Amino acid sequence: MSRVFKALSDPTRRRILELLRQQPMSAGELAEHFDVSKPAMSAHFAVLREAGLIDSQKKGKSVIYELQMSVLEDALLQFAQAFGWTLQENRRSKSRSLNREVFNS
Amino acid sequence: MTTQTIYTRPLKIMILGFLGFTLAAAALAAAQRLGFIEPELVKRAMGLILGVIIVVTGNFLPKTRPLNAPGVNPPGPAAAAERFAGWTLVVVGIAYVALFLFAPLDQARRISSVLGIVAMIYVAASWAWMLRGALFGGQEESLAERRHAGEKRRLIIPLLFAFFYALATASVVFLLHNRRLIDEVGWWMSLGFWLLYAGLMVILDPKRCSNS
Repeated sequence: MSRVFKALSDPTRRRILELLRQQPMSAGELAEHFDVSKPAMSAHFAVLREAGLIDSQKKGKSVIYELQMSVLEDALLQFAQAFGWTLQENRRSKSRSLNREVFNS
Repeated sequence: MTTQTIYTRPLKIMILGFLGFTLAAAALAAAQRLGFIEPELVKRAMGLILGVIIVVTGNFLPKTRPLNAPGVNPPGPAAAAERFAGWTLVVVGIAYVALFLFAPLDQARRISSVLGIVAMIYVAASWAWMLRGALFGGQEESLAERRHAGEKRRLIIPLLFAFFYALATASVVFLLHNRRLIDEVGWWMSLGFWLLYAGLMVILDPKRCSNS
């Protein structure tokens, strides 16, 4: 559950979830909506995927992301959006997940 | 790897919850026969447990993605229908819990059963045109994906079927007051359950799924 809270604590990640609520999208389509570097974007995807909020499927060359949220997580997202919820993020864990994602890709 | 563990956990909770409900119902019935607890308390407890099961199932419903069938069901509307069903069930479940905790038993039984039936009709209506994809699967690209989706379907669909059948049975039983009629209806409902369940198993047969 702490992973879910961490995932929902970032405005960019919440925006990603809001976009995915409309329809499943590829990583590229999602990135178009943000002014964020590609590695940072995939770090966000990794956090969301580890929290189990999104699911990824390979389709040809692109990766399609789709929402995979329980009702409780959905409610938490709305709550977080409404109150502009941000948590102090642990810098070390952020750089670690970033490194891992860069390393994997 | 992550996808696998994430989708089995909610499913496990749903299965355990369902087994727990069955066991609790049997235990309560036995306790009532032996005269440990009053019938009224048993009825309240059954309503409460049912309410909790509805909340748990509703909560995890959108996460297990029962309507996910690429190529057959449009992804956006399918997810929306799942979310709608999830939210409806969570709200109805909370209403069940509140009713059986605070309302007079007669009213709790009457209102909750009507709520349950209305919720089921609503969900069934929003799912109707996508059930084909849920039962027979979509056009997944690779063999591994198709197998994975098939396995998932064979877990989720019978579970959801059992849940909705139990909810329907409970609603009918709650509505009826005539004791003799309840026994008869109960018998027919359990017979119908196994007939429909067997039919579902034939539809979800792994060989048929991999051929199509």
